[in-house]
Amino acid sequence: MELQALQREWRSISGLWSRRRFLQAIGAAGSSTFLARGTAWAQAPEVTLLTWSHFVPTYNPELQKLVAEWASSRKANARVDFLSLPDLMPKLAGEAEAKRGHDIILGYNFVPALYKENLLDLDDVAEDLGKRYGPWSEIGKYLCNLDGHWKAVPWYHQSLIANINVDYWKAIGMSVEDVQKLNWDGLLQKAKDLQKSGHPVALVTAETFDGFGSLCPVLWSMGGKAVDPKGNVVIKSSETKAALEYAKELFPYMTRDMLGWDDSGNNKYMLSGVGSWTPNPPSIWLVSRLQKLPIADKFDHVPMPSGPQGAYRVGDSNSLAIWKFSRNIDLAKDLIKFLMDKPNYDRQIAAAGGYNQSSLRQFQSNPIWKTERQLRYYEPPVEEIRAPMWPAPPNPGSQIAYNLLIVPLMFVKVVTNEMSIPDAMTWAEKQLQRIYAPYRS
Amino acid sequence: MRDQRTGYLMVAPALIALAVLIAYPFLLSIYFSLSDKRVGLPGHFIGLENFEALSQDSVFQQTLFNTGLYTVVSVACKLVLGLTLALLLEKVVRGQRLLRGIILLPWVIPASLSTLAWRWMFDPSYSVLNWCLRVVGLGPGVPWLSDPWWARATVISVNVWRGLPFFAICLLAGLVSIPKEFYEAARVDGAGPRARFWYVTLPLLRPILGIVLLYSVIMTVSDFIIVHVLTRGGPLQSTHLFATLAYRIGLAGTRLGMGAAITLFLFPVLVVGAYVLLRIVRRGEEFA
Repeated sequence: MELQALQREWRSISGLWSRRRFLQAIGAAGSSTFLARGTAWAQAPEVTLLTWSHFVPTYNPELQKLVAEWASSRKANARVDFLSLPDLMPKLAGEAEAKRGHDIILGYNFVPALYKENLLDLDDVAEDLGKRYGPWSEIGKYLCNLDGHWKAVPWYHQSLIANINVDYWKAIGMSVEDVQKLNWDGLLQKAKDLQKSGHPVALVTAETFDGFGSLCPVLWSMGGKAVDPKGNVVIKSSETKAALEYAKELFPYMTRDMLGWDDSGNNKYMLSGVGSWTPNPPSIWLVSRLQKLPIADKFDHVPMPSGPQGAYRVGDSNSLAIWKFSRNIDLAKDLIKFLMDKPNYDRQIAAAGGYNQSSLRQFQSNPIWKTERQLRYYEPPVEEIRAPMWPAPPNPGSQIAYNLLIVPLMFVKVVTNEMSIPDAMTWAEKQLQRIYAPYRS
Repeated sequence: MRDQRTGYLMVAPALIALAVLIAYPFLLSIYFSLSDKRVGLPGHFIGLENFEALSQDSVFQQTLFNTGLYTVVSVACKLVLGLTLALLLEKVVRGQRLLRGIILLPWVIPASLSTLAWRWMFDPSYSVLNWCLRVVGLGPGVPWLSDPWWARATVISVNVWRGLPFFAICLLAGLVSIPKEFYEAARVDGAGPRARFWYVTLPLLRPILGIVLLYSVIMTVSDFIIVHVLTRGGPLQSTHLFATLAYRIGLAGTRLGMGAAITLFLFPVLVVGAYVLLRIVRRGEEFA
């Protein structure tokens, strides 16, 4: 009897939670959650920005703060994603192919040309900014204004100036002013003394993007070019030969370890206290100052050496572009305008410690480059600033040639004696011809 | 009949997953390899042009050599060292569970993390290994990542370090499953340790050896993370494997067709190799 009573009681309890009722409850909970979130999604769109992870650690948090302020003022959501530069290119390729991804992307160097067909025209944004703060510099127009349309808005660029450790130069009898006046031949002579003193120079001759920053100034100042403005491959020339001969002569006085460097290699080399000279944006000095390293006081920046055809500095450009498949085009444009607004732009320059240079004339007079003594030669530049692969036409071929590191590789093959100078030039010529062939007009 | 239908129904989700996640991408990459597909743009059929261009490209030829060297040396080292380790582990009685667990660690730790740690140890400026060499007076250090041959040795070493536990544990499983009676019988017949190893252990280990070798060859040929993190294919493209070269050309270079052709180049070779190894395995099973 008791058992039957228990069974009856159990049935009455379990009846409350029959399978059907259980499923109904789950369904109701799930759909109400979904609807609630759906409603929330419908009310607050999210704008996403993909950019590179800045070498100056204080910049990324400031950018995130700015974007959050914008999002709060527009009652929208926003997210910034950071990637290292070598990983950024494949990520952009994935987004372009899948037609899915971020709203705003970083147009690094020739990326706007590479994905021209997939990017929105930003004439309204760029022209408005040009009227308010311009004019735009040549490097900005060269990389972002394509076939008469602004495919991206130049955000900032960083250029590779000569970073020096003043103590090591002083030890061989050279003041900063003396180093500033050096040409390439002079650097070669002093490189021998510096190597003897245990602090070699580092003209980055390696398969890395920094290789462009070191080797293109040598190439250009000797009169060499990889590709001309019409897209003809002209790398095989006596001027290129002169540049390769120079690099080969200098290489024995540098550390062989640089062949294994990535973009942080020369930074570490200088910060370790070994290096005496290397082309790099001012992140080496900025990072040492931020970390309060004793070596911070030893760093300074001087113009790149000059050659027979002048003095050049590579400027790597960062622009902001919007994918055509973005679902938040108006908001994305608004965010770009917000970031380029002068007070916000000044905050970015300050957060980057003066690392970011602008393509807009009015922003180039920011006082940071006068108040920080080590940046006096960084902005305004003494040398001509050119994008890597200049004067190649801004087309997909230029970005592909940049991504595949053809120019630095040519130099590496020569300095390691893997190829003779004529063979290395022939190799580079063939590679570039194959890359540029589909884009010949 | 009903059981059959139920069986098909149970297997259907797995088949669908296989079709969507493996068969479709595989067929798509075959199509890409026969086209001039670029990122973001449509491709056109060009037949075997990509493969012809690759066969004449010096970088690809070097990659072919790199992959062959990397695979043969890595797998050989893992086989010899793995078998040695398995034989030693078989003799361990005290603490065997703990020891086997510790030995598995290199294989279990995410490859990108462990390779990043190796990168730090081989770093051109801050290598702890070079520091040790300098401290004990064995010279200024080794160009681990900046000399082509040292870089090859470095990536192979990391691959062996990572793959060795897998070989050891699998072969250990094979060793413990060999009936002791065979060894006793061989001992009674006067066979010494070497003869017992050659005539008893190895033949009975053949099935599992074949499977482990097959798996290891496929995984080593298609390796990506170790080279990508350590050297990115440098210096002078001396460590490029098919996967890293395809990544560079297909994604960084936006030439998806060429990238697909690179990854599929060894597919026929791997199919033949798998067939041969599986036949060895089958012969080993017959022997057992």
